[in-house]
Amino acid sequence: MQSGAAQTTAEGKTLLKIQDLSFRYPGESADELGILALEGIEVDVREGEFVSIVGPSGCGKSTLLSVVGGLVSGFEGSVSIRGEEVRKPHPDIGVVFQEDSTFPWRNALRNVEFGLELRGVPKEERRRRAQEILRLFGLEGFEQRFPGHLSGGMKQRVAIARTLVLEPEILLMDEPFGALDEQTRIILGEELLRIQQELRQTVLFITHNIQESIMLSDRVVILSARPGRIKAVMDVDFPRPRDSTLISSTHFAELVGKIWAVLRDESLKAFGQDSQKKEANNA
Amino acid sequence: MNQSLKIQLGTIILVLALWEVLGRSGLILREIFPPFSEVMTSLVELLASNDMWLHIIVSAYEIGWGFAIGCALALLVGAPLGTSDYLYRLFDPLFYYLGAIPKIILLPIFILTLGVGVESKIGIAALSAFFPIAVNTALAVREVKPIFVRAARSLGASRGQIYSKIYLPSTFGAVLSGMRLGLGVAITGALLAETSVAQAGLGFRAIEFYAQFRVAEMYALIFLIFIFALLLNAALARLIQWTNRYQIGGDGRAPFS
Amino acid sequence: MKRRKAPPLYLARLLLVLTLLILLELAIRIGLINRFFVVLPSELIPQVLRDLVDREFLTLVGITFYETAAAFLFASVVGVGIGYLLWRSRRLGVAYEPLIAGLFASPIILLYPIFLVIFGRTPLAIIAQGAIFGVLPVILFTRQAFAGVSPTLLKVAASMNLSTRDRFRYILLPAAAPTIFTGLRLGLTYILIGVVAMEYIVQIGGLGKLVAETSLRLSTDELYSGITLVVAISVLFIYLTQRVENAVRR
Repeated sequence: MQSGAAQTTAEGKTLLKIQDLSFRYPGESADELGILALEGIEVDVREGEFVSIVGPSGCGKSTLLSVVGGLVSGFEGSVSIRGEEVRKPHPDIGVVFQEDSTFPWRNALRNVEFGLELRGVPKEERRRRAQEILRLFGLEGFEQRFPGHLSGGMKQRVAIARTLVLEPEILLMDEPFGALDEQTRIILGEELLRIQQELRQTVLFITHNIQESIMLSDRVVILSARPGRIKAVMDVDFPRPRDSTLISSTHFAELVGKIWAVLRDESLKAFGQDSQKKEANNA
Repeated sequence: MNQSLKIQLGTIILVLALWEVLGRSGLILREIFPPFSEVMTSLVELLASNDMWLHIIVSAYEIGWGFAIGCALALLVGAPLGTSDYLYRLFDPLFYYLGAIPKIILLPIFILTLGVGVESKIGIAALSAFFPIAVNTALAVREVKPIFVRAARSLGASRGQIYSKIYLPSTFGAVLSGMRLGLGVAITGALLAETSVAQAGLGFRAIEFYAQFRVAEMYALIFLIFIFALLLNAALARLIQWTNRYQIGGDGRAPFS
Repeated sequence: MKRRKAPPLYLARLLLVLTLLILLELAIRIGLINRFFVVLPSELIPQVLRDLVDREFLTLVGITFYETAAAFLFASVVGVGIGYLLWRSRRLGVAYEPLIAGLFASPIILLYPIFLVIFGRTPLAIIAQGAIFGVLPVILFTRQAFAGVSPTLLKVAASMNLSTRDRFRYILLPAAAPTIFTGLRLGLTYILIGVVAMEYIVQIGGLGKLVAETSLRLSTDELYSGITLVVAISVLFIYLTQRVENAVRR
């Protein structure tokens, strides 16, 4: 139960390496330091591995994802994929966001084709590949629907499919089911498990939901309250393939208890930070 | 829906009938208020006359060029303003207040600089069209959700691709709405300017009829202008509805990719 | 997320306007813009001040305001009344809304020769035109205001067993008032624009006539001064009505 080194999954090759990463928000002015969001983050993600990052709200989880996705600059430390530095969006890294990011002016099929279109994939081929992946996500028959006519869960599936169709080496997911209701969340989690196993996809998953992190991952990284530091790393040893019936096992409950024990203090701290800020604002 | 249409048609017929009866009754001087049928007869004669088409062409020319120039300037100015919150808020009051003044009072300046011919009307039309289009464009660009740009970037979009595949399709409908308003005020501006100082055009012709006391023809011409403006407006509204039909409650394909 | 130090907006806006004026001044002085067409801002300002203290100017403002007020009185009373009726009868409301919206988008001001024929070249023609101009947004917004009252509020009213009159007085009217006010402000703005435009075209009445007359005198100084004054009054007027609306809506 210490940072980084825990080595359980069989395949050893490191795909994504985050080394001594710190991030500070820009200050109000040049001579003023901004808030420190992340400090000394070290995470290795190996090929085919599913790693979750959990932490109290406001601990910089989403910032971490933006950094790894190459969407923000100005951080310290390094992020590399197969030894290659990530400074801007990298074709081997796919990102799925928490908010609905499907383009409302494109139907489901053409949403999924978007990235292929940018890469100049011929029309026939991109249509075929998009249709294939939509089928994998159980969206057959919904290809022509516009996002305005899809449920929240379906829109998120389209967004995931849109990223996965580009066959990224690693998939980053920022609380992708955060805006959905509990049942949809579990169902989509189960579907993600199935697809991840089918594609042997490497995933870095960010969430504040402990159950979700256990059900999906091989490893759970727990972050502290702001500034986000690695508090603990825990291995999840349920055999794969898994499904949502795990939730009722006693071992599952044990793991939830262990993670919560670590997170509880941090969440209380985060809560304190929050109410302090509110008081300061009121004063 | 069907019932609404009945009420609408009924009202229009009622108004026209009332117009006819009132015009014929002699309660109001016929020279001031000719019955509808007389106006329609004049309209048919007008449309049959050769010089009518000259005036139509002149007005269309002014409106077309004015609208095109106003549009181009508005897009050039509006789009960058929408990309920066600070710039937007800096210029917003300027646009808000200058957009609201009656542009026609600037006509003397246009006449001074561009002369009494079609150029000054083009100037007024362009200026009138500029404001609603620029404001709508800036607003539309401002309201493009940052998540769309982030998602596109993470999917590998270049700067140019973000403009052509995110900004263009997501602002299209709102910009078109601005153009609809802009075209409306361009028509008003150009024709109103024609009634003031001009040598040709529909507005000029209408005020000429007025000066010559050819009241029925004057009514007919104004009626024609109105019907034309209403139809154009309705057609553009339809087009906008069509471009937005991917939104909730719509169906079919989006206009751009 | 990135923030650079930028001057506060008020200062920046002032600087913007000053910069534009200075650029204009320079452009004219260098000869980039012909002096015959555009007046130097430095010469315009004293001229505007001279014209401003001129008593005639205030009279002209008075005439324009009188016409605007008369048209607004009609537009507000008739507009709110028709808007309310169109809300009461859903069928008529649904049918008439697109007709009125269509009229609102049409070039109403081009009807002015008809008003001239009917009322002659009198302020009445201008008032009538302004009233038609302003009544449409008032109708549209009033109907929308009542239609937009939240059903929850109406249920509350029903649960309290209010009489029809009390329901109107204590629930409907307060809930609809802000939107009605927006309609009234829009109507007022439209009327002012219409009145000034008409005055200019027909050359009777107040501010619009001022511009028309100065344009005939072949004096660019006076012309620009007249236009500046009319623009200034319009901007002030729009600003004040906006402030009043904000105060009332709060």
